[in-house]
Amino acid sequence: MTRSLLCGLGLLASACTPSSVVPALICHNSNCVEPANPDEDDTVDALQASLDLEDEDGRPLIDGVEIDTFWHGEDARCLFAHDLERPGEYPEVGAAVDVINAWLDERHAAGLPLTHEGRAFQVFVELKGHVAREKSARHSPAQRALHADCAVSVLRALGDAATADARPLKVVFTSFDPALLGAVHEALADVDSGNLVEVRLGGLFGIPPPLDSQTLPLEAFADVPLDVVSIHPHWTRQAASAAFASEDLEVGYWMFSAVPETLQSISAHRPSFVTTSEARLLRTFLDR
Amino acid sequence: MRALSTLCLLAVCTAGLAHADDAPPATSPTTTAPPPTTTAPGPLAWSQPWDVHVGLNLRTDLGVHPLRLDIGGRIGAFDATLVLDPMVLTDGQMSTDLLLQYRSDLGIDGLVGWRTTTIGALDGPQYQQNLLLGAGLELPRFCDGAIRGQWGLELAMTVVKHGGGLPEEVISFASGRHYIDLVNFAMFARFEFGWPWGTPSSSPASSSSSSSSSAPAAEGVTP
Repeated sequence: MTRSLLCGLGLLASACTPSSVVPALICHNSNCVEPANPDEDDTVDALQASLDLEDEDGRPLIDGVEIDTFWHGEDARCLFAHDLERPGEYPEVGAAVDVINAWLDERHAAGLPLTHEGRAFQVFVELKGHVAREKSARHSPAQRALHADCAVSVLRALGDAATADARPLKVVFTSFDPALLGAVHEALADVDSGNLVEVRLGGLFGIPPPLDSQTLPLEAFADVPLDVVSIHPHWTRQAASAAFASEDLEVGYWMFSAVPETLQSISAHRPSFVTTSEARLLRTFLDR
Repeated sequence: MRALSTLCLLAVCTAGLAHADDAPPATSPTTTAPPPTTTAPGPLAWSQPWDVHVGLNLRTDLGVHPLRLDIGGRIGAFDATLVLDPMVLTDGQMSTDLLLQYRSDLGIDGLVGWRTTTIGALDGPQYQQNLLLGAGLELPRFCDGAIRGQWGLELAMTVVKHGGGLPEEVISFASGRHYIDLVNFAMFARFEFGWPWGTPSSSPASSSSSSSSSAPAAEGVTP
């Protein structure tokens, strides 16, 4: 009887114990300095400030950044922008790449850690699915190809610098739009990123319709060789999580503001990465 | 965790039965018990104008711990409850609620409240202050009416985060990105065991205990 009880408790404990691997902390929209302020998303200043976040040991708080690429159809420009809602000029996406490369080069030269967890620095390159202020303005086939070329140019610029410094790098192309990811996959066919640069494709899943029009079901990505899914833990149903597991997809979480629901989801499911706008709070939570 | 919750619920139910057995024997249920109605209160505290109650606050979502403890009091239709979080011992995260409810005779309740959740951060806990709004439905009573239940829907809005060596963050509605993660819905179930608090002369004194052991099962049914 006692042995059965102990066995049962042991099984329960093993089932409930989360993985010991700490999720990689990715800076959401290149802006994870608290307090979270989406108005600063995808700006060069916020990106620099986010990269410069350190713990008391001088390690970066984050393990990577997400940069948004926005194809502006009217000007045929590839912007570093979340949308076109903010007044003023938007830089080309190369501006973000320059900031990241400069920061990595400087720290690498100084022998400083590049990530909190000591793994390869990760850059998530999100391709926004609309080409104007209105979300209904979708890419034409030509615009889709140009946007994919732009995203791949980001990989080339980051990859060349990583190879030159002999430091590992992980680049994850993400989008809510499977057609854009498909275009990236095609554009990657001619790219040799080298041994040090890992390249992956990731689908984004967030607030479902009818509340938001961006999120599509997993089957919409059937023609894309997905490696990764980045999901919002508040809005993902158990069945969808089971489907991701069945497809053997790497699962990460994205969020705007961490609340108890978010933190408990991370504890319970231990995603491989967490994309957050609150680097210090999440780092504390992950390291506790 | 669900098994633990079920065990706790059974324990409370058992305690409720024991309490009912301790009540003075009914003199004559057929002459003193009021006729059962669909809105009749339970045979114990619920028929009194005042009561204090303790209970379990259960949920399956991840907003707070799945099991917390209610301690409260009721005056007529108005109910104040403090929800405590003993599961802070499991992960150091604690959510404490103060709930004010209007429990109508129709079995439909309105709820407002405040929740403070503490989460460990670098320089002490971060406090997340939440406004709670909700509505509940009274559940059928059981354990001879000793236990009353409530099922409800709750909106929790994180109004401000502060402390923990982090900058204060106040909710903004400038765009969906500013607030979408800070407004969350949840369902809850509460099960309470109550004691009458005082017996005002105008109240139907002792009617509750007199019917406790002989009340038909249907008496506890509420809409």
